[in-house]
Amino acid sequence: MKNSNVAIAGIGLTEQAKSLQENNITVCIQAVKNALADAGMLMKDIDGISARWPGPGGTEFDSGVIDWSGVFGKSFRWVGDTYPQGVPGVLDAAAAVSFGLCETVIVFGGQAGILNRSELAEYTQPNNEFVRPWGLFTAAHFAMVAQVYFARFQPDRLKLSQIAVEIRNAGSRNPEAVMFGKGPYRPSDIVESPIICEPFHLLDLCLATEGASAVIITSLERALDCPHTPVRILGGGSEWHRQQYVDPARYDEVGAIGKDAFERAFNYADLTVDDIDVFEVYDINTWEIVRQFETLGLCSEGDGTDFLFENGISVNGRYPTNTDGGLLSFSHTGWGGPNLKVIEAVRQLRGTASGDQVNDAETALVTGAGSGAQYFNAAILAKN
Amino acid sequence: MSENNADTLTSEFWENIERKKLVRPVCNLCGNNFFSPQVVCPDCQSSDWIYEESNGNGKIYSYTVIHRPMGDGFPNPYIVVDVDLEEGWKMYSQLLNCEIDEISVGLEVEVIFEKHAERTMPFFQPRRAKK
Repeated sequence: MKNSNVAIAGIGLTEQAKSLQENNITVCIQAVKNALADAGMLMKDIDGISARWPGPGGTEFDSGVIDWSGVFGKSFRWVGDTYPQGVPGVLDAAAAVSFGLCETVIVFGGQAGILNRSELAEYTQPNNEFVRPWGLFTAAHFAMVAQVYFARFQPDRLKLSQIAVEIRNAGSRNPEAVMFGKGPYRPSDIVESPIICEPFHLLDLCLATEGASAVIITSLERALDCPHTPVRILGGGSEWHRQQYVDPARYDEVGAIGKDAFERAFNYADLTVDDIDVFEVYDINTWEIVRQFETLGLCSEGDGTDFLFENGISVNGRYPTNTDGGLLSFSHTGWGGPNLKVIEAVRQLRGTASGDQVNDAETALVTGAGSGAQYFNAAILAKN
Repeated sequence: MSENNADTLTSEFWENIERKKLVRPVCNLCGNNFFSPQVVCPDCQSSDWIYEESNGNGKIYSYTVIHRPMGDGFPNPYIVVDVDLEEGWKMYSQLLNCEIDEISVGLEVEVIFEKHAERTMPFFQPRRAKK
């Protein structure tokens, strides 16, 4: 923990639902207000902002992109707009605070009033001339990576389904999850749900929902004055292989994406994966969880399904994973979705989870993106 | 390709497809085949590349059978493929004229051209022994 002088001081979450009577701006503002209240701060304390942003100097207003300086009527010392949410947003903010570019950053994102309860979000189908005409969407890109793995290693389908079962049942128990009260699920429910894109069934795949979330990052010194125990950002790493969802994502290129990011994150944090108490990993589909545990080096390539089945990923298992219900069951708010992993990790470390709580969790691994997206990121968080 | 070609980067590809020719960028400097088209060769960053016709033969690197209606007259389910072309490049497409239980990683395929929504598109089908 030699390098850490930056911490998460506040988190904010709005209601998460299949559809909300809000819009992208109002729902994000609500998350910002909740995070400020959680951190015991006011907007005047914020001098860095990480959100989808054309900002001063930019004029293009693509869907979901807003001039937040205008919305909040203030100027900032630092803006993060490369990938302004989730792990990359938090890591960039930590670097900015650590280097003295600003003192306190708010990272936020979300969506509302756009899905209209449709089952396939428009943003999962980029309008690329070599992709869209053949009917690809996000889950299909991931499926084509998984198919090669399935052909080579033939994972046990019911054991794989147990992973979705554990995460979805955690969501069933979590009053704040979109899928609260649904289930409980058995492995047979997963494989009996409609197949969407082989090898994935409907219940293998993440949600598309609405809501927003916000995270406040500041110096450890400043965070110690805030109401909640600071959650320190101990290390992180990213891998950017290719632009997402344009050229084919291939298992032989991206099957081990994350290995370098994990090594970098753990080296910087001076920890090993055995030190991690809770795993908030990006569950865009069931198999992607297996892939990440293999990439973490906890088991060999091809053995992840058996490994997780034997060790357990529920709150009582050896590797408690996606304790809030994850993207499969808690929520997945499009561009704001990656933040949700950070929020749940902070709640686990504070001991204030709305659903399953890992006892005395001191360290958390948070990840974002995945093989089919051709980029990946990871961060290690810890209770002070 | 000339400079300032970004807006016409792929128009020559689609013009060839209309004439039922599958083409891909080939670098004049290093010989690299690549796809999708880029302003410069991804191996040597030369902008000196041209579209050359492919023989249209390849193998399925991966595929997924998609069970949801796509519309535009496509069948449900439909099969999306990532094809390794013989010249050493790859592209997404759909597999036609193929039974679901006939598909596998490594299946040999060939390009065919079909009109969809007023536009000719390259698809693939299983390669069968020629007469």
